[in-house]
Amino acid sequence: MKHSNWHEFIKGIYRENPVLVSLLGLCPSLAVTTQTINGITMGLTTTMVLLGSNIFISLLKKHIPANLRIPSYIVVIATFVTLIKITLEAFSPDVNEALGIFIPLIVVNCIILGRAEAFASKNTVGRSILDALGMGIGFTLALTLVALIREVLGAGQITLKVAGAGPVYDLKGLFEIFGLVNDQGEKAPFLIFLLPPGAFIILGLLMGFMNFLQTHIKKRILVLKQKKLMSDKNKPLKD
Amino acid sequence: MKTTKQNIYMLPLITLFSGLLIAFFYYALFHQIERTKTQKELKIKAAFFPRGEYFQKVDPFFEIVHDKEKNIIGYLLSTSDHSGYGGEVKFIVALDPDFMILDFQMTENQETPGLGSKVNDPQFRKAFKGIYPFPEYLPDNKKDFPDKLGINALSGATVTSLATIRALSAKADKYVHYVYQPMWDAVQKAFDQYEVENPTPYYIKIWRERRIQQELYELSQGVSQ
Repeated sequence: MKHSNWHEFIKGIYRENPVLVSLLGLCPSLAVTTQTINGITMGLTTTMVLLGSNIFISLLKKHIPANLRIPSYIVVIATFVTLIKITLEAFSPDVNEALGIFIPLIVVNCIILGRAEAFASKNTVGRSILDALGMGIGFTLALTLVALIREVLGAGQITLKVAGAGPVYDLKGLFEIFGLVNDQGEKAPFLIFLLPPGAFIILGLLMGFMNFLQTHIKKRILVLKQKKLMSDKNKPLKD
Repeated sequence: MKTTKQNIYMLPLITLFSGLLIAFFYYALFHQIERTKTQKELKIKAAFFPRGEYFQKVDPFFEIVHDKEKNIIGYLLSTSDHSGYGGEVKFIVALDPDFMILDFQMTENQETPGLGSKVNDPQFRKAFKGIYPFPEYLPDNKKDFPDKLGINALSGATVTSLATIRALSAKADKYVHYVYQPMWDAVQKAFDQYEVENPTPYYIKIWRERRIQQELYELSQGVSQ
């Protein structure tokens, strides 16, 4: 069944969010989300690679043989990752340094290969672009949310500084309100949230919340549909 | 037949095109990458030595920093260690004229974003100020950090902290003799003056030069070991 273009775009943000629903791309989601800006830049970088690879694979879908599709996709994805890395090295070395080894790891990010195999190889270029944008934005939002929560709880600040520009918001006042200060009066954040166990905890809680939200919304939609059916039943028939 | 032909040429064609695209991109941006690297290094050097005017490059790893009046105001040491959490970590270390650490900056690394990269935090770097970059003055392991530096190692980045220590003490002994450079310059000047007033016979001059070269060579071999 073919969905509308809007559906292809929006599904990546909510209904089929790659991190919180499909559980794809968990490695960068856990590893780089120690600062808010890292989450945002990682998400945007992945989105660009996703966009480029989806376009390219959709253009070549009729020419790539079925039994050679996986190595072909990997070559295309690796090419775009390399191009992005070279561009970041040239124009934004701070972002390149901040993300480090996780930029080359985008090549083996399940989201990109998954979307290439499941969508771009079977749809037009236009729909592949919408799918890539939706999935990329969904991935970026998920990473930003995880990073924001981890940094607020684990470091007591929100870092939006990139290339030497941008603010860093210190949340000392908030910690003082909740009494989370040490003997010297400095804020005492929960370091565990900056470490891998904390990342798992936050991600797990967000996944549970997403699951609850989707189940709750599905129930509401079902109730509304039933109400509409009942009201349609009671309507008098037209002559 | 057509499918077989497609199987044969498609993947090499994609690979060839990808290689050409990457090569073109790299060729187009190569100078920009070099410029960005140099600008970043110059920024770091200017931050370490705001009064620095001349950077005398002794070798790829060591520079002597002079001010406007050509006085030595410090040294810059490029050093590295291969045992960081993700691989090699590279540093630029600023030393004062007495060869004590003024500051340092990790320039290249493969460490975990947000954890190992905290080595560049001002609070961690401040603890090393005024310490000599030799193994006797720096911590050996995580437990030595409070005694020798007055701080703990970075939480969640112990491996990177220890790699930093090893990098800071890696090359300092090779260049510490430059601390005595002003003294040697003064001695050389006085000696030249003496030579003018009391000229040495030619054959003794040759023997003396040869002997000095031999001693310097033996000294550099002994220090690098």
